[in-house]
Amino acid sequence: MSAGKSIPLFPSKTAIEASFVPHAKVSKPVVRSVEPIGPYFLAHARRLKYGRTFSEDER
Amino acid sequence: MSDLEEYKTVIGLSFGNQNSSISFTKDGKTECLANEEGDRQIPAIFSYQGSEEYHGVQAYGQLVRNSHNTILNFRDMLGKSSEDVTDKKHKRSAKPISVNGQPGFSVTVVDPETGAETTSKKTVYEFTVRHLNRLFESARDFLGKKLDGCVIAVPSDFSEKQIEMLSKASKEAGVPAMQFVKESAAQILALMYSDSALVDKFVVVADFGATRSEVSVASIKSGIITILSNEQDLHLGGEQLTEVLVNFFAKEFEKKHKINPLTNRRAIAKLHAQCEITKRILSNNTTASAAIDSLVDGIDFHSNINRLRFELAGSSIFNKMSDLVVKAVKKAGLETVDINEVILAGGASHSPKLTSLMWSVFPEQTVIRSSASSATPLAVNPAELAAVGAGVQASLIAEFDADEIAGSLTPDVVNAPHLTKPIGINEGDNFVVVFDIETALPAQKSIECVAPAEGGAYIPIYEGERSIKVTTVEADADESDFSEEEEPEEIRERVVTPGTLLATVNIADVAPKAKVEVILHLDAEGKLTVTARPKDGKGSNVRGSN
Ligand SMILES: Nc1ncnc2c1ncn2[C@@H]1O[C@H](COP(=O)(O)OP(=O)(O)OP(=O)(O)O)[C@@H](O)[C@H]1O
Ligand SMILES: [Mg+2]
Repeated sequence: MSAGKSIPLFPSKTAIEASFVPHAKVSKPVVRSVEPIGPYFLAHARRLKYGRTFSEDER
Repeated sequence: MSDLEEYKTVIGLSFGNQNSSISFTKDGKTECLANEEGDRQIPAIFSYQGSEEYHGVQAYGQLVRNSHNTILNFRDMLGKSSEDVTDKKHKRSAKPISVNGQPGFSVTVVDPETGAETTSKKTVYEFTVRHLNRLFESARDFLGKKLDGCVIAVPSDFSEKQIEMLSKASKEAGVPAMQFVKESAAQILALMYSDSALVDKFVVVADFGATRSEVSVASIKSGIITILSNEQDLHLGGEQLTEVLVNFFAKEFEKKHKINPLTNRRAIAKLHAQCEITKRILSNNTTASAAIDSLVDGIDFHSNINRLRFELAGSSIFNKMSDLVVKAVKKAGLETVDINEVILAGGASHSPKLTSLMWSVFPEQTVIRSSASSATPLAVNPAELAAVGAGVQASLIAEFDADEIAGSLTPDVVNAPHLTKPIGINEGDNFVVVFDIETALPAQKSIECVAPAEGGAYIPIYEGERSIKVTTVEADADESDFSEEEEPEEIRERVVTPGTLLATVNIADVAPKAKVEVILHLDAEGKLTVTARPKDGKGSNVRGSN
């Protein structure tokens, strides 16, 4: 699934090696119920049921 | 049996207090079916005259002559105790009674052989079975096939007990209900299915029916629908708008003839029937006439009304409907500027005033989808949206067995964590939101980033802070001619700025202007995993989690 747009990046101020640097955790989510309807919900239910990832699902 | 014959025949169903519709999916398109009389909105009405039972539009036609033996507005009473129902919605028809504690109606029928009149009491449950049976029969006749199952749309305040009774009724009427879905979710699905479902948005669905109005605010993220808030008014709908015309014409008649037609039950029924038509004409035309032979004491009634006059007389009703929308948006923790789309559903939404009220409530960029919007009209009759959505769902689960369907409705599947802050890429004014608030987890998105002219890709990922930016624009001299006060106009905008830095990705060895594919994945706990790789394969791949 794509956000549908190209994002222009800006020059790095700290040009370093290829890296991933974690900084902070995502804020605590809130639990809500999703509507059990539509093709994308069914795909979500299927992924949970079979423990599949998004990428496995797309294939 | 060939493979083809093994496919199940399933339908979608909406069952309102006034109208029901049945839908079927063929060649990937879901549409409402017409019954034998050609109606797609089939009134949930029964009427008994002599030895005859009338149903649907024919029963509706009995309201003038035979009101005490005409049964309507019973959907909301299903599964309730007779103590919990009011007769507020039965001023013009048979009043609900208690049948051993269950709500029901008393009906009088004549035996065709003996001519003897018998009065019997029937429960709302029995009328529901009868009504569903008629609908299923119409669908069977239309499709020429036996039906294997249906999906039924119900309002969001339908209790478990009510769903249980409806499930029992559907089975007894011959077609088991595979799933119950919310009317609002079905209305969204009806439109989403054919549209760009994967564009994230906040949507308002405002359903203005005959006797009730319900507004839901939904977050739609990667095609998954979450209802954030509901507001309903169980005594606000198209009936109240018809009532506005009834009172308007009654006053006019009284002024002229010194007789108040509202003191005569039959005259009220006649006025009502005419005003229902007049109201619908006013949805398409700016003026409409009304003519009733022998309204009271043999006096005929003739009059005209223009749309503006109707909208003025009904302004308190229209405003109540619009206020319900505003309330629901607030309740969802959103502002009108956050709403990308408003869908006006239900038969009463045909009245153009509701569309213009939405235009004034929401900012210019909010798309108002309604039957009365010339720029963004609905491709489907707003009264049929719930049935169409139910039909789409029916076609999606047609081949599922009961266990599979039940398995997708368990709390561990349906309850999902939702983001409380947006997540995006880049700094300062260049920040782009990738996952907005109220995104259900797990979620994944792939985006394309373009390296700067200097080469190298530096991708900072932030949680965003949301705020509202208010700009005051001086009233335009030309435009202010029309408004009474020359108040400066306030423009409100949603802005998101980078807040907490979650992670940074650096790929120093990509070429200038190279395209980098970045996949952001959030698991059910909110753990972020990022995968970045240059699309041309020249440069390092980076993957990490925080
Ligand atoms: N063209 C029109 N213009 C104005 N009003 C209309 C038009 N067509 C239908 N209506 C109104 O729509 C209402 C029926 O709407 P709908 O079929 O959505 O009701 P329902 O879902 O059965 O009722 P409820 O939601 O109260 O249970 C009626 O009040 C009717 O007068
Ligand atoms: Mg309705």
